[in-house]
Amino acid sequence: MAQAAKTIVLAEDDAVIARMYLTKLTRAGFRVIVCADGKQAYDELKTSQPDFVMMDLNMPELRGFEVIKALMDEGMAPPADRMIILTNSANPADRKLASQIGVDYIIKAEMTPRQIVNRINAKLGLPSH
Amino acid sequence: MAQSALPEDSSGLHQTAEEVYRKNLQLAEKNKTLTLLRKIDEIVLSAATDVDSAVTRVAQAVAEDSGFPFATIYVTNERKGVLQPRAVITRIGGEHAGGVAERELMGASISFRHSTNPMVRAVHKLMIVTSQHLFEVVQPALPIEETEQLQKELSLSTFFICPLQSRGDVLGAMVLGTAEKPDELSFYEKNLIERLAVSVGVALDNTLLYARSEEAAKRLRTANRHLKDLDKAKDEFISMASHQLRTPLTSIKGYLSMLLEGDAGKINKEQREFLTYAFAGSQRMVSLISDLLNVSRMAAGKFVIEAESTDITDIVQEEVDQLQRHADAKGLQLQFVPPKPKLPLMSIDEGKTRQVIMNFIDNAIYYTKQGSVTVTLKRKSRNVELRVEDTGIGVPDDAQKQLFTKFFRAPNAQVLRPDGTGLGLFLAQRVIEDQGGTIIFKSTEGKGSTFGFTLPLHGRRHGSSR
Repeated sequence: MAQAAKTIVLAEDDAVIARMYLTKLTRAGFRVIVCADGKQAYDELKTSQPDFVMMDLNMPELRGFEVIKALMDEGMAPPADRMIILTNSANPADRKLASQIGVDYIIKAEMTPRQIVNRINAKLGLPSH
Repeated sequence: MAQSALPEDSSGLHQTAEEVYRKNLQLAEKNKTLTLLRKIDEIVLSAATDVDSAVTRVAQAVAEDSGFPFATIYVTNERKGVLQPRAVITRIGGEHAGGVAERELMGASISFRHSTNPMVRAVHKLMIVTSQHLFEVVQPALPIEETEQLQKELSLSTFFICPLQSRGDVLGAMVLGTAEKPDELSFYEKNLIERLAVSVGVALDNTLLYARSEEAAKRLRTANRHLKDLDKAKDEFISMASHQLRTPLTSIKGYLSMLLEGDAGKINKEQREFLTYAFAGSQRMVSLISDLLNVSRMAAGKFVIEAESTDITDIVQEEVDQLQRHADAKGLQLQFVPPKPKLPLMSIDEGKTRQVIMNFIDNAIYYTKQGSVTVTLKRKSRNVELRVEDTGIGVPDDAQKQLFTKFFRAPNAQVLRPDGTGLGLFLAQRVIEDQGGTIIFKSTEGKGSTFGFTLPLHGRRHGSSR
């Protein structure tokens, strides 16, 4: 019997980019919950425990780091190795903060969706596509 | 009869006593002068913060201790072409007259155009001018009758107008007033006026210099603050611009890659070829943005290595994957020989190191017309070594020395790719060396090149780099 699909929370406010990752992740067999802003991501992660989180930084309502910090304060943050920051931010402070939390920091434009799926598979111990 | 006991010596003794008395008086006067001059020096040395308070204190000292109970100091204002009163002190004629004098005179600047004015004459001729009328001294700024009345109330008879100069510059004038007539003045008093003029001139010079240097320092501080603001705005703009450029590129590059991967159905050979070119173009733009960001940070002295725990094998594999199609489209064999056994995680700057690896592989593909590009990553004692070997055009001998300098491009590379920036290798060297590594480079023109680096496996050794 096939293993139950792993769930990914995708926090991404750009609908075109969200659809791109959603398509690729769904094809790769993941169940994807898309959150279009930081508040939605916070509410989702407070109630559900997905297998993996893809977190954008510059989002309306709450920035990605604000979501993570709020969840950490409540002891509800996903483990650092079950999460990646996906951003196009060139601000060195953002990269530093990600490094402090211990979470991978990926410049969206530098990786194709397939590469990101492979990165997630590797982190979840799943075979690459 | 003690007096008659020394009748012959009496007049001599009297003369000696008078001599001693006179000498004592002279010494007392000298002492008074020196005390006053020292007081003036001390006022300046105490680094008064503004010209007005320093000048006022000097005028007070003069009016109180020189025997000239009326002292005013004028400072040249070249922009307005006037001698501007900066201090008026009276210690004669009672409080009321003093108050009126200070108020009236402080409001009366003397224009250089009035060449008959004794103050203007003193300044032009650089000599002490004497006047017995205050209205003459301040003409035509104040009315004659009121000024005559004021002089009477102040019981002043003579005014000495001294030019104030230092190091060859005329800085202003000082007016000293006394109740005595000009011919009643002792030698000592005349001499004192000259010495005071010199001393106050130097004092004014120092005060003005101090004020000017303070003003200049203030302007520099303001300019520095503006530059910092500007620098910050520039940084923010570059960050914002690169973010704004990368976001649409994410969609362009991402969707192109998905079309190529068949996510929207099968594509024919020609479609694949066109999409590959479009994808390579988008990839090149992503790379250019990173190069420009890094170069602008370098120019601002803000290029720093941000080490994080990284799997370098993943990075090389991901960059080879990205460029695989480009190699395929050119009919080149691109292969990656991964390390065995697996490498441990390394503490390196992932973003900048990725950019170096991308640049090496992208260059190898670009400058190789046929043959292969082989990427090898392996452990070599305490280092990790990456080599990108190609069978491309190579680098001419005479261009090899300059290859890693900013904006330099080898002539044969310029022919093949006229639009290169000449930044990739320059940045690569900096990124690798700043992490304690070394660049690997060897090439034979027409046969091929090897570009690569070694990086310490366990982080940068202390003091091993710039």
